[in-house]
Amino acid sequence: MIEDVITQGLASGWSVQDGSELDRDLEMEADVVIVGTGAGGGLSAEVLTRAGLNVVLVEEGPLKHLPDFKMEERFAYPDLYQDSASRKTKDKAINILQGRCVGGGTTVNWTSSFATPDETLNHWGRVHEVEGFSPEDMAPWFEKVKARLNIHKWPVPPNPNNEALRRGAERLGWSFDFMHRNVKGCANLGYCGMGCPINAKQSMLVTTIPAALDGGARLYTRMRAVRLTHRAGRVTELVCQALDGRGVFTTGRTMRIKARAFVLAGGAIGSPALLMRSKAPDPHDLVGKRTFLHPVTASTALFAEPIRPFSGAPQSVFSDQFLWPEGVDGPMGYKLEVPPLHPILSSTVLDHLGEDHHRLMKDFAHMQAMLSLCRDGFHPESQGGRVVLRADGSPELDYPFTDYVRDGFRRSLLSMVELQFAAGATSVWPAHRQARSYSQWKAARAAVAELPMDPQMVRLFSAHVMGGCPMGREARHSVVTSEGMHHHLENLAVIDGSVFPTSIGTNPQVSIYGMAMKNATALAARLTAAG
Amino acid sequence: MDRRQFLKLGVTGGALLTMSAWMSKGTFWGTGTHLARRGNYQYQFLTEADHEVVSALIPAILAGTAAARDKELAEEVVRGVDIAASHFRPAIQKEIRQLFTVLTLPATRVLACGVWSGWSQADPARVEGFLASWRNSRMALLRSGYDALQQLTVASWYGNPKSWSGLGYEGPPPLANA
Repeated sequence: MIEDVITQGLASGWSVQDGSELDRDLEMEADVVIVGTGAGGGLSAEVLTRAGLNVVLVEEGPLKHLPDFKMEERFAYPDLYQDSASRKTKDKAINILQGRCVGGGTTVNWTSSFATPDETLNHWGRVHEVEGFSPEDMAPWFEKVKARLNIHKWPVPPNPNNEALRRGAERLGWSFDFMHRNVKGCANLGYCGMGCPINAKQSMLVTTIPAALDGGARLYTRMRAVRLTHRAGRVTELVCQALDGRGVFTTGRTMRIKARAFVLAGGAIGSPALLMRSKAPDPHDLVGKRTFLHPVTASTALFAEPIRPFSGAPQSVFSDQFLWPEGVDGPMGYKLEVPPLHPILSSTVLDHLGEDHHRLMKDFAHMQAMLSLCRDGFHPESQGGRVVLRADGSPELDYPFTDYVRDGFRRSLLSMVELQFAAGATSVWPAHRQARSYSQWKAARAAVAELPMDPQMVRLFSAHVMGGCPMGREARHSVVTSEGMHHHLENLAVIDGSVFPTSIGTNPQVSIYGMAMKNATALAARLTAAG
Repeated sequence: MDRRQFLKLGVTGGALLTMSAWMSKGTFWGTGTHLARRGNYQYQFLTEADHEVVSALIPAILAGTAAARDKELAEEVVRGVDIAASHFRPAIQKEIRQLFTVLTLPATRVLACGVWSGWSQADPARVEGFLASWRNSRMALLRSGYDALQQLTVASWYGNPKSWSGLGYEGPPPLANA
């Protein structure tokens, strides 16, 4: 048996309560309440607990761990993701893969580890009045994160799916490099997105959260943070509702927590939504605006040789050839990567009907896929989306298309198709409803040039939700200070991807870890100094 | 769907969905007394009428697969759709309920889907034609309706290990020391 830190911790007496099993209402006090246990909340939990503070963690998702990780999508998606991995934007045009479990996105991500690009950090300082986030300021924090989560350049040769990206880029003379990953003892299985079945991924689930629980933190799962009560510029209480075992309906049980400080780490849809439901002061109408997705376009190709895109480290090669095409605020840039393919994921990306769908799926083992992370939020015509509340208080993201982003989608599709042909694909399908499978680059190029970049036509995805509570010096332009403290509620911090004033331009987990370690450390210092 | 029907739908589509939203209120999940049941499996979201719809869609959406030919496998697909739908948050369940209301009410079935007979008697070519028309519709709402039906169905089938042999996929690797 593989040793499981969660199983052992639970046996050792950790304070963990499944909200769905509550048979009474709860009231409690703590030094700090953290809403959310993903990259921001998980990292903060360890920092604050180590500072000697009494921490309560509130998580909407369930605690799932090694014995639950079966490497099967049909179990993993409902267990571990928002809306069973099919959360969508308001108009249903973009499918958002977002974690909802203890560890959040870090439990299900593909382990790709990049520090925040210097271009992005410099842009924040220059345009968004963010202080203390220069590349020099951040370097030591990224070093600490790297050490804590065993982030290192992945030494194993890429699987054929990633190798196709490397080969295509090389043949075209495009830049490429190998990825860093946060793994320890990784067996190169390829099922990171369903929860690591050997605890090799150094997610919050197996690192910082166990450390916090060892230090006395209390964890409540299947517990939805509904609203903050605030008075005279201070948050006094967090009100939560327990969810049923599936995480669908509320059970009627509630939990109220009073604390000295409150940390929001529910992600860039959840955190703005909690502020909105709480009617937190927002005099400049900023909360939930400028929410970014790194909208992802995709292209699938068939190769004569087996690709077996389900096997091996999901992402190990990338190309930044088109990430900063004309500087940071020029036309939309995009990062080229590959996604792992598993049966449900692939079959839902392929939107073909009937026999056409079946024909493509039959060649699943020969399928190679590319994705482009489109870098949103750096240009006036890329304002991202807006979090809105439904009648029942649940959030959704309204993300309109502009000509600027449409142009980025088209260029990214062209780049991926060109690369796949260069890598030796026999046919390529750019993920667009009106595209065919093309067997030649010239025909594909001519076709893609004409495709309408409209909702549900161009197939779009997102695994990175950012923004909506931007940090910065001026309350006129930001929701929180550069240290993550709310401009109008003095004991409220936001420590998750929602504080980013733009998207990151690369997979964001390390950006969140670095920011969280820095800002949670500052918060811990203030709280311990105040005694 | 021909051009005339298509135009008609363009004019009435919004009204139809408003109407179906209103009509679906009484049947929203949790209050239904007519949820489907097959053998020991009690459906959580799909009603008998919905079950008929999904069963009729399977031969079109999954054409060429074993599920399109085998009744028992098709039943497993419908069940998978039910499990998926019953795990969505209430707001999404409501939207899926509206979609099924459009599909199951005879008036909207004829107008929006061009399917005149009941679903269980529907000609498979007609069902495929309806799906193709939604897939390529000029109305974003219908395109997203297609996405919902197609994704729920293929996810249910390809999540089932019984579909994997047709893919050249042997399933998750065995763990040496698990």
